[in-house]
Amino acid sequence: MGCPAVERADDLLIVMTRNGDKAEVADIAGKLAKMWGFQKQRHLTMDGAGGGSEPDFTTITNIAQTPTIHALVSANRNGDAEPLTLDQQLFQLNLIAAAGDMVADLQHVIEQLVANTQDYTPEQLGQFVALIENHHKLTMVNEGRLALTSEQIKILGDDTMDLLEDLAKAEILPDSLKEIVIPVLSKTAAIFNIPDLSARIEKFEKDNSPQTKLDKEIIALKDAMTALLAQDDLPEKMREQIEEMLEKLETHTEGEPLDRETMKALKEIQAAIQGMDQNGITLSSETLKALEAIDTQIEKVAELNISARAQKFNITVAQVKSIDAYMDQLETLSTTLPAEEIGLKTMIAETIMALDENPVSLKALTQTEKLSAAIATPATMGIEKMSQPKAVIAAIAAVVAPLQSQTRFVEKIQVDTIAKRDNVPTAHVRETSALYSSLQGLKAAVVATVIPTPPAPTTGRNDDLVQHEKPHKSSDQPLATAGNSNPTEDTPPTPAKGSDVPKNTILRTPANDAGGDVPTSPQTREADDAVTVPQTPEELKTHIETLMNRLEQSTASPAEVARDAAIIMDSETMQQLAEKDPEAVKDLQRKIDAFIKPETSPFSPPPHQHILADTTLHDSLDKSFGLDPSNKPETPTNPVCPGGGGKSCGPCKACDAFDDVANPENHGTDPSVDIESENATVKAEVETRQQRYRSDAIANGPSIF
Amino acid sequence: MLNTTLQNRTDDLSVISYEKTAVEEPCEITLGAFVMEMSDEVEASLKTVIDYYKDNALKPRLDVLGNPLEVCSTLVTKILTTLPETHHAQGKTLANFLIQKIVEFCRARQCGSIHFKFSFERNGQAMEAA
Repeated sequence: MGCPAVERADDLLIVMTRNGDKAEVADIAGKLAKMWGFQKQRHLTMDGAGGGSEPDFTTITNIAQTPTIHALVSANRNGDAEPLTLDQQLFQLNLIAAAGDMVADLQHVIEQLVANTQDYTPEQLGQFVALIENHHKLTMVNEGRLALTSEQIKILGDDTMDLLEDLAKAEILPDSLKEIVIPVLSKTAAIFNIPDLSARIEKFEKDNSPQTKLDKEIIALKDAMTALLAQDDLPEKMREQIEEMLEKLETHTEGEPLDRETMKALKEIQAAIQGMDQNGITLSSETLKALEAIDTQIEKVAELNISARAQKFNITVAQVKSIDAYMDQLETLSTTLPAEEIGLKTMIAETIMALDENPVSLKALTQTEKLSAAIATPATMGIEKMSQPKAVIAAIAAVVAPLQSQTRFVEKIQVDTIAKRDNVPTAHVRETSALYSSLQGLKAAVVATVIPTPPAPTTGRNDDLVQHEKPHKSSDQPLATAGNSNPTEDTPPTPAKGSDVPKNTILRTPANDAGGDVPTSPQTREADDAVTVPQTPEELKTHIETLMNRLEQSTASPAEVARDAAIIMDSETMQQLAEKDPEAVKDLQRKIDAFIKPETSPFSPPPHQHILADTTLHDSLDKSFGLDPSNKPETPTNPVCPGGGGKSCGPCKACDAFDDVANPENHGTDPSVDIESENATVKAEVETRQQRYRSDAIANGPSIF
Repeated sequence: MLNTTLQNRTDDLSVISYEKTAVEEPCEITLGAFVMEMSDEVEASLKTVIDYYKDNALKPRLDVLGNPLEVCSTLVTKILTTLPETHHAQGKTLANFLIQKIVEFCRARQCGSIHFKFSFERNGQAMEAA
């Protein structure tokens, strides 16, 4: 079977319909072809009317009842201002055919390959087509759309690896293609248990990772620079630049991309090399050759540095380029701004530094947001108030205008990447960023407004103990210095142990360590164990930094944040700050509340929270979490179940509020509820309870929460 | 004309063996009406897609002009956006079929730009004049 089609010199019409309708449509297609008239099909839509002297379509019956898909392809001879060469066209068509339904995903890769057609040998052109086709097949295998035997999959995988290795060896494998093919290949190797293939992929990735390649190219660059220094006729200024750069490159850590400053210095050297011809400096052929080698090498390093950053921060090469362009724009703005705009210049410098360090960190996001707010309007930026000539103001405004949209674009990259990386909603990323920003402000305020005291040591580590988090009163023994009567003394405090537990120190339990069941990194846990109410500004600063680090590493659950925030709020330094600037403290509290609020927090219970009403089950759950069963929130009043379920209604649709899985006889019957759904409900309840006990811990914490 | 053959590696497996020509000679054009061969899988996918469009009173239309890459890319995106995820496999199979036909068409005519129209008509209404 097939579908009818009509083909002319410049058109192809395919009429596709369901199996049973084929004969009718074939008949129609035949008649259409006979009349060469499918351009006049519109008459078919007019209930047979409107023909006039046109061919008699009324003889074509039944089409009105036949659902069909029409696909009409026509050659467009007038299109394309910049047509591809014939070789490019045919290469592109082969790639499209190989990609099939994945053509949309691979569009950019295909464009890139086609643009470089002339750089590839005929064999390499074929290898690219084969690689794309293999990738398509592997994807179909993984999606269950193509059935292959294990042996076939293994051969297909090995063949793909051969192609990747050949193309990588020839240094023509684009990273964008590699990034698409490798994950599917790895997935195939894992799903179909092909350890040899997994090992090959691992080795390939290691050998071809941008970092490894960058390291190699940096070594080559250093060699080229050393060779250049051996030339006697090298201009002195260039010699100094090269020597300085060699010193910098000596300190480069393997596997790390080069920082912005180093890259800028390299570009300056490159510009100086390229400018030598214009300056009419006569150099020996050896020196010129060495300079040319450096020029080429810098280009390679610059390109690989972008890929290495993309891999390091888990963003795309295009995103790294956008962020780099944004940093360049910021630098332009900074140089355009008058010297007295120190505040804005500092903010720009900090933003560039944060973006260079890690563009998708909370720190960088916070900086970008601050900058975005600062340059949102001429008013917020203070342009209108600047006592500068009109030309300067206009120049600043011209730089700022494109920056505003670029800032939002970079913010979006940051928020989306962080949300994806931490598996949280974007709204939560914004809240975390707001909290982080407030903590940054608080840290600055602690450093700036409170007279700094010599760094006081924190309490020693104790794996079993945690300091009680209640507001500190002057009459209390200072908690931070358990075993040490004077908190300001430099002597390290003695850690509390066993029977020496001070009265304000309580044993760590799930109830007081609300975040205990949330996975945390070893570093976080270490910091967790050292929790104490900070007494000095230095301690408070350290505590704020710890919390900021937790937020940055996304290891902080709302309960942990609540607890840490409470400790911060309780510190004496904080109370001094609150007296000075109560609004700032309230603002911080609001941001903490936003972070832990249920609407956006990924850690919060589901919206339709069911609470187990059965006390026995409650108590057993309490005990399983190591909690005091008597310490729990009041159960809300239940609606009365029409089925006679009373207060503790079970899985009854009538009230749809509470479950009582332990006493099914107490509630109205609902035939739609089976054992399976009840089990699912219990599981959900257990999870809900876990969440609620975290909330309990918050509630039982210091009064401000 | 460039012509490269990449075979030998997987010749023992018909399903994945291939003979690739990097750049091929244009093929012949078949004029007139004929039946376009279609595999059972494509037939089944087509039925699913048509039934879905019909049952949900959908009338997807696509009218795009450009190079074959843009056209094929838009076609795949369009088909997949009009179908629920449960029907994506069938949509992709249908898209694969159409893409092969578009590629054959372009290869035969050596055209770098095409005008592509795609439409579904519940009551067999043919599309507007080309």
